[in-house]
Amino acid sequence: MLMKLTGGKIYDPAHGIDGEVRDIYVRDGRIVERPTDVKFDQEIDVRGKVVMAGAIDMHTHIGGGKVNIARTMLPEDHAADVVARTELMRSGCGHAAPSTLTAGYRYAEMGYTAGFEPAILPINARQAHMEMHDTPIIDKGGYVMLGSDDFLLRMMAANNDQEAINNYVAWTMNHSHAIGVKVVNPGGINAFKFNQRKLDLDEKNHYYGVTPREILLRLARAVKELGVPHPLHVHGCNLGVPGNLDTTINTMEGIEGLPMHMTHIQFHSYGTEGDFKFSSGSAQIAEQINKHKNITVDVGQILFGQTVTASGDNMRQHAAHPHAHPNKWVCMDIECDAGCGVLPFKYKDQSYVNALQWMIGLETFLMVDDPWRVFLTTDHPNGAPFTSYPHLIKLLMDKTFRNDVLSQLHPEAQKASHLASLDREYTLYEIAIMTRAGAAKLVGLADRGHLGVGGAADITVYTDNPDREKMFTTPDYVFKDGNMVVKDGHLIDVTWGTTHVVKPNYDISIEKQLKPYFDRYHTQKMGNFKISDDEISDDGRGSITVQPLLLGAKYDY
Amino acid sequence: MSALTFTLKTAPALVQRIDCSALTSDALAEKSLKDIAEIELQTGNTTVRADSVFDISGDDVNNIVFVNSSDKLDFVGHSMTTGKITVEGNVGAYTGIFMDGGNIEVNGDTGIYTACEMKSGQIKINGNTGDFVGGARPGRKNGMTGGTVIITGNSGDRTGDHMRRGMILIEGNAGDYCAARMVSGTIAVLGDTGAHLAYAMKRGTVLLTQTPSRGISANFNDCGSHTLAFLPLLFASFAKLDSKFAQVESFSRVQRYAGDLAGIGMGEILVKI
Repeated sequence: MLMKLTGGKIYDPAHGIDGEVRDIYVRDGRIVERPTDVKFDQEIDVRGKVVMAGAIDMHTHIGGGKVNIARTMLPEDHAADVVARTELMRSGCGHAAPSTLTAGYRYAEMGYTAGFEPAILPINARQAHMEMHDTPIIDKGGYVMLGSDDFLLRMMAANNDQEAINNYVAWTMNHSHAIGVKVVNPGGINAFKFNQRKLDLDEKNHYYGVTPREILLRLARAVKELGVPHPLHVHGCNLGVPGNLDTTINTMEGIEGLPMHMTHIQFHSYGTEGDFKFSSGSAQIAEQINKHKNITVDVGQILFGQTVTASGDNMRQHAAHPHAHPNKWVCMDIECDAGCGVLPFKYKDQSYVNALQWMIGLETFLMVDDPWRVFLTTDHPNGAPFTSYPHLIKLLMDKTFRNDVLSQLHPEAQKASHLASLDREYTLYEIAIMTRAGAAKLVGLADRGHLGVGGAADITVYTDNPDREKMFTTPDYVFKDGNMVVKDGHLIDVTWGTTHVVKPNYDISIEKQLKPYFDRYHTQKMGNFKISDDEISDDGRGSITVQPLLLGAKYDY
Repeated sequence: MSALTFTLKTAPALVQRIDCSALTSDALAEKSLKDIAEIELQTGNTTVRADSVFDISGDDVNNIVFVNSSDKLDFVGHSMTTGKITVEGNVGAYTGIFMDGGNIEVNGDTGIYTACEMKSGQIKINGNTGDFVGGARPGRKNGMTGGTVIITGNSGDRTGDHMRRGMILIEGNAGDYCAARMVSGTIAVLGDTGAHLAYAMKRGTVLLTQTPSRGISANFNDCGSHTLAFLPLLFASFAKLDSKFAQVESFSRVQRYAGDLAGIGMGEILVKI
């Protein structure tokens, strides 16, 4: 099967191509050189259209226990958004927490071809993978959540050497099929169980005597030494607390130059100035990001409307529960391994705090200079459902539109922000960096997010429309591994993506410690904890793609 | 004008439940009999024409009658704001859901979620009801927020679950968990009540004319006997109703129990002395 996309304007930042007119050749799901045989099975005329790689959402909650809790808790979210079955698609429902199949369809229809679940608890990994297994078309993968698990905290309290911790991290990543490591409120989820209701960067866990700073250092070092391409994915301390800006800056500085990705940074950029004791810290945060080249961030932009916040951070979710709208919420421990909190939330444009959160997110986008180190997310569904990405892209690319929306928000919040004075407008090239090339590089996907020879033929074709929201809502074509899955914004074929993982090396001796630990404390035996490749690929629908480790990792067995 | 009458056909017998939400005065206003016959009603995973399940006659959309009704007819009176619906026979679930005015009378039993999230109007059931009368849909926070429900027979379990405002008058017995999670409003019962009366009640009033045989929960505090001046006024308001409650001899002496003390404890159970 040989296909030619003729004459599109190519935006491929991975190869520095900014709007050049070129042809793309696809053979058997891969992008190839111009072939010598000139007989094409299919030729598609994309002259005048914008061609990018398929978009990659590097932080989206689409699988795992907390999403199911959100679904269970919010029947109104289903009832208000019902999708009937068609000949092609299964039925589904849900706006903020859509069903798995619907999530896959919607991502594809928006030109996205991969999404990464950022909070897979090791003990729940099987369920999360099974759920993503039911999410069609897009590729997926997950970051395994460590940092509040008793095994790691025990190791740290016993002052085990870094080697042992690397082993444990690598073992966990292998057997939960992760592509990265996430830490949520480092140690805070655990401290919550010892009745601590806040935990600062240098505050000790009452039981283990371990601080969040130490946890971050240990894990960031493990990830680096194992050669995992995705830097430690950090949901920091004090999410949503006015004044948390200092903690965030301390976190960046305290990581000692190790690679670190700070997620939904918007929720961590708050000051305490002004009459409302709540102000934007985005200028300081952006300055720090620009300064520290080891730091990457995604924004976690909020957009107004009803959504649901689902987080592993039970400490902060518990503190936020009075704001639940509608008034119902869940906080729970999960198998003594971590926790979670789910509460529905409505962001209101006439609320000072919500309006300022909206501005802080956009300020961060506009003030971080390097689009390779800032990523477009709403922390779906926490800031807004992923379906609002085209709206967000328009806000970034269209200053007039942005200022029109801004002028309708809470007047005091407008005064507290200098967003109106920021003239930057993102270019298509920069959007392609944020949502494609940069994201693929950050997650560690060697063959995705670019249109170079050898890359997977995940391609999105848009009509260049000055209304960027319209443009990004309905791509003309979306190809997944060379198959046309979307035409004129509508799904025409349902395929199944792969699961991206990395397999860092480890020393099997770690199991000598882990086996008795599982036997004594866990609800499943160590043998059952391990997910085999077959569980993901056995039915012929799913598959596993092992992405390469970084060169020069410490362990080359 | 004669009542618009939907007579359920006996053959073929209903296999799936039928969603009758399209058959209200509001939805049928300005529709001809031919239009009405062509309405597609949801049943199971498909739809059927209204005239394939009902014989339709009459022309007054403000006076709708279901004859030969079945407990498979759901959502009768959905979101109605005006007119009258009379049901001859049993009826299914969600009768009068979201009702915001008008009148429903059922000469038979109703299924679950009768008067679910009702806002205004009156529903009279000359028979028994299923569970969750005046309740909230699963996962919702507010049940009925106004209107009156009269039940001449017995009500099922969890009557008034999450009820917010309005009145439920039960001439027979109430099932278990009557007034559970009630936020506010009034439930009056002439007969007995089941287990766990007013479990997790927040505010509101449960009025009983006899001491409940299953007792009052330990979570309710006995506040002693009271003479409450509002009770005669309440009974006076019943006088216009077509119900045994109109004939109840007014009283104002009651034993008052406050609870549920596991929550905010601002609800009350009043028992006639």
